[in-house]
Amino acid sequence: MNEVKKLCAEDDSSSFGRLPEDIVLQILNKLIDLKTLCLCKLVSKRFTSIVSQVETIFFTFSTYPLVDAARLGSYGSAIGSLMTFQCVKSLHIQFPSFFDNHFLFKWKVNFRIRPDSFIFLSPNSVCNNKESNVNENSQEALEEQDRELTKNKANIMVECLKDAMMRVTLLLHVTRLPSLENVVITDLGKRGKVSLSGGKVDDLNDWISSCSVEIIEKSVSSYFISQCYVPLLKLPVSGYLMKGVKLYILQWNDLMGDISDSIMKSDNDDAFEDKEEAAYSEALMEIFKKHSDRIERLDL
Amino acid sequence: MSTSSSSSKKIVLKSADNETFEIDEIVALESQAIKNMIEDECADNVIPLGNIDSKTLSKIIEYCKKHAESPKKDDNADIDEKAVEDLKSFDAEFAKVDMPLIQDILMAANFLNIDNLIGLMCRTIADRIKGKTPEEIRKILNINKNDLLSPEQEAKAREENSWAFD
Repeated sequence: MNEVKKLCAEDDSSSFGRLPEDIVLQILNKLIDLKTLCLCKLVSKRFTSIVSQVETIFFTFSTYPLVDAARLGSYGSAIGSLMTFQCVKSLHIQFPSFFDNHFLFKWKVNFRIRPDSFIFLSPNSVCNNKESNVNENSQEALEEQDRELTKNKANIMVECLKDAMMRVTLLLHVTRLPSLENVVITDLGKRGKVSLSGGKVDDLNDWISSCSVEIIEKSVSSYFISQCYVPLLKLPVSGYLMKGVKLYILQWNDLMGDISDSIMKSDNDDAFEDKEEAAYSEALMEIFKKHSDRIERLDL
Repeated sequence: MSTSSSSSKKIVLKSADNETFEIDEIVALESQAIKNMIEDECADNVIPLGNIDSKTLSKIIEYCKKHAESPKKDDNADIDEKAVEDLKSFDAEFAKVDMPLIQDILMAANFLNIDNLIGLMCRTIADRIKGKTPEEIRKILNINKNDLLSPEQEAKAREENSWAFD
């Protein structure tokens, strides 16, 4: 009995005050949402000091900040708040969907020490391998249809590239968080993904700190683009069949290395979020394995 | 008396208000602290829990009973999904209590070192303060007035995090 009284009498009468710090941190670590965490800074002195130790943060943009890529528009203060959480290890930033679902496509950015390549993959259609009856005669019609789509796909690719650059800018900014171990920047429609984890975060940080802003800007302003078209792509692992697959690869790497080698290597440590994502990655691998002769560099 | 003989399968817990609860040893082993006491042979037949009242203790025993009965994840790789779902809905029901009791359970679970229960209570509190204003959070958690930020500190924090109020 005495022990109970002693516990209650300790520090204050509020029931929350008696919870030990590591328990309060466990609670705050489950909040995850940046907005909620920021509001917690106003709750009490104790909250203010403990909330700054959280390790996982999710931040969702409600509108697309593409207007001002460098300053992230009105989201500067949100990002500023984010940067005060110096203990964060795992960060997920999500944008709203930018495109409606008319076209099928996905894109991602690969890193090798620094941003290395942008990959855009867009099939005309995806269907289950077992269900589909491939009519050989339709191939010509398919290619005809695809020529019409190609121009649209190129335009979408350019829009996605702007989006990718904005996310890379944001990524370069947030990797300054000292404890960061993994960061993912996605969109609600799961169209594009910019992510880094493990040693790659450190690699990128070393690269940023080793060179000036001019060099960073210059290194992403010089690039070359390759494209590839595969009319019919079978995906044995995921069991899908993709038709009219268009692939664009933009490489910032000034070394004229083997594209597929670069992609294959940087792709290995990516975990797939769902079946769809796995299918797109398999498609990319299949193209490099079986259709690398179709990949052609574009003269700009 | 000692419970060191392996034939003993019952444990008696005594709450702060002197209520006794006789439970199977397997149920008591959900608590890492009690497990350690039993393993170190320093547990008497009756374990006094001077900082846990009977209301809280009976809730904790209810939780431990259910979780001791359920198949453990590491026992069997393919435990049936029904058991997992069953445990999930039990946890959800279990957490439907008022905030003072949640905090009592959390304090006790922390003392008894019951990891799953600590996690469940922390998640429950987190869910209740998500999307709430600082004022609402203070009210929900019954934050002591002595711990509030000074008006100057609050004004500064409001300005720095103004975007979060939109």
